[in-house]
Amino acid sequence: MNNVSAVRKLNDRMYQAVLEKFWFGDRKKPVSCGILLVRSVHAYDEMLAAVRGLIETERRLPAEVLADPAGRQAAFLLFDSPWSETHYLALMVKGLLKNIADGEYAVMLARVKDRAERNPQWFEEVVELFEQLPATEEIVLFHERKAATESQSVLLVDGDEEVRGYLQLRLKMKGYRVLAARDGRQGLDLFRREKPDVVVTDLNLSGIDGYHLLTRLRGEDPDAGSKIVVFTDNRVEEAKRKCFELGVDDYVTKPFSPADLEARIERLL
Amino acid sequence: MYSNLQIAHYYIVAVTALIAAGLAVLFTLKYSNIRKRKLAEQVSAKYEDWFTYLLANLDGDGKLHPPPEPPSAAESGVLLDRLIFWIDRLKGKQQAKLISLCEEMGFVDRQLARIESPFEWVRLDAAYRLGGMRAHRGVPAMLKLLEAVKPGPLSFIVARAIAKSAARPGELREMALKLLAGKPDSYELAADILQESELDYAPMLAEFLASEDEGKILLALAAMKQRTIEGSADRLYELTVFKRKEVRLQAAKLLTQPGSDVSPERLEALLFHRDGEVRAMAAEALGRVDASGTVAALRVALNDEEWHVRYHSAKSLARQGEAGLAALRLAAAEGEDGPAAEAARAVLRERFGGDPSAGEEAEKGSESAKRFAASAAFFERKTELANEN
Amino acid sequence: MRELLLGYGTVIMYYVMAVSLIYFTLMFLSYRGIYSMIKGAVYSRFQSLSGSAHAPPVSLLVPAYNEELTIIENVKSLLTLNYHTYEVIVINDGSKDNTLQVLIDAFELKPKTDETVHYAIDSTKIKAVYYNPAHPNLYVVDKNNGGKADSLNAGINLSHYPLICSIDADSLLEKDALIRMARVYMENPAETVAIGGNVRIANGCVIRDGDVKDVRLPRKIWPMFQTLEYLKAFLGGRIGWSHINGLIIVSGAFGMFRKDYVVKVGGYREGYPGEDMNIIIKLHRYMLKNKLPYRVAYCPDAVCWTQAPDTYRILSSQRKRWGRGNLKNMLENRDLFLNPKYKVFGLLTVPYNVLFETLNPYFKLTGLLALIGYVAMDMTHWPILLTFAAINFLNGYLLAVGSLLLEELAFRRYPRMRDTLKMVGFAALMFLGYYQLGVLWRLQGHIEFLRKNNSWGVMTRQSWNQEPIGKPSTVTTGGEA
Repeated sequence: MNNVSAVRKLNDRMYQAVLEKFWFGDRKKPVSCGILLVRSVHAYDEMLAAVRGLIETERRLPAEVLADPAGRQAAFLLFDSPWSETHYLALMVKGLLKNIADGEYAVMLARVKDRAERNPQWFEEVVELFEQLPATEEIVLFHERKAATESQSVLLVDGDEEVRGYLQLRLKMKGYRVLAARDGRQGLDLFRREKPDVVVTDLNLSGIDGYHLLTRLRGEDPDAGSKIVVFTDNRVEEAKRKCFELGVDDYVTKPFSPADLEARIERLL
Repeated sequence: MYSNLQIAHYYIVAVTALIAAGLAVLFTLKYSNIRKRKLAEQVSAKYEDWFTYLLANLDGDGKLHPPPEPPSAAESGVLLDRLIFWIDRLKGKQQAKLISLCEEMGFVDRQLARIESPFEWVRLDAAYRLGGMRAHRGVPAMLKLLEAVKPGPLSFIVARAIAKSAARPGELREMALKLLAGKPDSYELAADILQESELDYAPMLAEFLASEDEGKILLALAAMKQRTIEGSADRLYELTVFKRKEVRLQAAKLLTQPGSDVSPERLEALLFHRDGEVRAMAAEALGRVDASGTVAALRVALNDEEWHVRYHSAKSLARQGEAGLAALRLAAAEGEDGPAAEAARAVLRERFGGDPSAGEEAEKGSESAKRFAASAAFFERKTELANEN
Repeated sequence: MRELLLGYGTVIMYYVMAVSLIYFTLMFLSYRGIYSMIKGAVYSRFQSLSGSAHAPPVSLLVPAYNEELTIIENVKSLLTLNYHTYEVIVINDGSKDNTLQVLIDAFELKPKTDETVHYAIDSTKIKAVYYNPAHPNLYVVDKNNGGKADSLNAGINLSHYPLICSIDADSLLEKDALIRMARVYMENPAETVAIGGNVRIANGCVIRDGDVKDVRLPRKIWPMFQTLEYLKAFLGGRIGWSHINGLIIVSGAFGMFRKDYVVKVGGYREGYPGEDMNIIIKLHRYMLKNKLPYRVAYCPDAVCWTQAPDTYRILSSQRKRWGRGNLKNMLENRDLFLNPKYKVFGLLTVPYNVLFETLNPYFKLTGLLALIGYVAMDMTHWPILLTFAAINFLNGYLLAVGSLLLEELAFRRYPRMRDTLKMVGFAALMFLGYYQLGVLWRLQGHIEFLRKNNSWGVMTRQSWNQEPIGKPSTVTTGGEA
């Protein structure tokens, strides 16, 4: 009971603070707000002091600190600093915690944007998710965990694990629902099940060859409800032509500019 | 006899010693490789969060910071490899941020020190990494290394590193000249290496094309496969009578490829070139041309001595509409068993024999061609827009 | 008499020492070249090169005879190579089983009527070409039975690209094998007429979706011995020879050639095993005779995995076939022997091959018998037999250790420490019977040749791999490793 009301209080306080500073503050434009949630079961006070120290002296960021001793957690709201700074701060905090908190800690990052988060429920979600987080080494990004429900879906088919991971990260941050497949067969399965809005696929896959996959995708979806973007190393004109003949909507070569790729995906939606 | 046996014994001793040494080196190497691998895994895990931070924030305006705890020398190697992995995969602003991060972390300085090492394999490794980081500062040292290595696989490694890092076209030029001096006719590879560069080396290519040096011309011709040079059609036509056959063939290939702006008269002239391959290319290209003298010229080429010329002439005639088809049928009927007739018949068989949907194939082809052209125009506009941003 | 036997035995001992000496001199002289070759492979960026328009287009030729069980998986795997422009031409060599139908069904192929084939090389006429635009890179050719060489020739006639690659129907190519070979070609395109790939034994490896996911040593003994044999032959042998341009063979399981030169030498020789060594000899001959600068290169990092025979019967049949082919090739080309007109090939490669490979069984066997005879006559000199055995053993073992070292330096495919221990152990075990069997098989092959036996021997093809370990064998067709 106590915990529940504590939770309530934390997210309410967060909501209030953000409301004041963020939306109704002095500034005409909305400012960015990064939220850093830290829980440290042991060494709570040291953690609080240390993070405060980091924020104020090391990084010199304007911040609002909302402590919740009962839950051994605290929310640090960083206004008007780039998201990358918040993220970097999280890294530093983690480094700190490794030394003082004996393994029982959790860190989570979230970002307030000026659109959908004007409701207290969002904060509730954030805090609830944080509560449920087990003590873990990695810094959790809220938008990664939160399942996007309404938004558009993208299917990534690429054998390169790193690139796949990176694109997943980015697209999730942009708010898309991302499905990932590491080879042609998996890609086809996911396509059949989920009917994504955009498919981003490599030509060089294991299992099924790229062109064949394109044919099958078009076969499953003759009205072109899903758009297909080919994302490949292959820079030969012939290949590009063949792909268009098979019905793709765009062709992006690697090395790639992530902003460019995103723009192309967006334009197809 | 005894001395023979003694020799045998000495031999045995020597070989056993060698074997022992070999095994020792083998196991040491194996052990060290295993340890290196474990270290790499550990480092990757330790810095996983930092890499997430980097990848998640490549776009924003903020600067990217090195890890909160500076990595040790051994760890730096692993981190650098991973950073180079990403620099290789990305383009544009995101790549630039990673590059400046490498600079800030002192990686460039460390490799610059290593490239002065007396051991060639260290210098090679340093050059490779400097190239990976697109480090302009390393180019002079890399050029020196290019001079020092024996022409072969090693020189291409260094050349590629230079191409990635060069900041001035003069540096690219120097690298290209050194590669050309190294002898093997690896022009395609050199052209591919040049492509790694972000600089605009079209003026250099135009200069090479206009020169009289075979090597330079061939390099320019290879590079022109991927990018056209303005106003080069005349020079290309000139080169079709160059003294070296390879130059003639490559120039002709560029002139006859789809999308080239060569005049039909020139193509017809090439139809009677001295090299069979050139004639075949011209014959194939004339299929896309619709000019008055084409059918007549192709009809003559049906009697060429090379099979490929006859075959492509016949194929091109088949694309010339009724006049062309009539000429083919005539050749097939009159020629009896001569080579022209055989080619004509083969093409007629392809066109009409057994496949009634031959017409449909052509239709589908033009449909997709239209889509392709439309998309291409669309994206050209988009790249223009993107470049404006 | 005793003296004669002893003398002969001694000569043979020197023979064995000479093999090593020549061999090691070779390796030593070419270590620089090997170093360049390896560094070139390590530092090249194949990912981006594979998509570059500057890499040449390649035709893969896959002759298939009675391969209905495995051909689909193999073709699927070949279609997913990391390369921008290539075609896979499967040549059905008049199979008696359902190979052709299986292919047609799996890929929904239809007869292609607008393809005119120009017979640049004499080969059995192609009955039909099958194609499906949904798989734009696949062509299946149907023809009457004519043998592997004939099928390759037919494939060459159909192929559309200037480079051809001969592949066995059960070769599993790594995804970047083709681009690695292409890089070697691109570094010297005018002079490179052929490039050999590296063939490795897949028994015991975990294979999924046409990719070797986990490299392990074989569990069974026969494939284990062959793994070491292949390592010695490929890493120990071919690297060195290729550097001095004396390579006598490019494995039929994975070799790339310039089509124009293959056509000029008349294509593959039909009707007898050993056509892979034969084509290389023909190429050397042609280039040397016409005084054209050339090289037959070797690309040790382009890997093709193959299933090794794991029963005595199939293995011995394979080796006898190789022995036959080898002998025929040497006899047909005996004019190259020590012929200075043919430079390194004539003065070094062919004599080395004749004296130390083809005639190896005779020398060793007679030497052994002579010494046994000698000792039998005077038992006090038995150490000599021991010395002879020791020299043989140490020689071979040194070579094995050298190959393992090279493997560890450059390729590191077997990551575990216990793999190296196992290999070091087996390399020694091989001398307790495997080599002797090899000698026997070669002799048998020669006998078969002399008896004009020309069959292909015992072959069974079984399905590739559903379990990772200990799967029954398939036979690699083709010449010597």
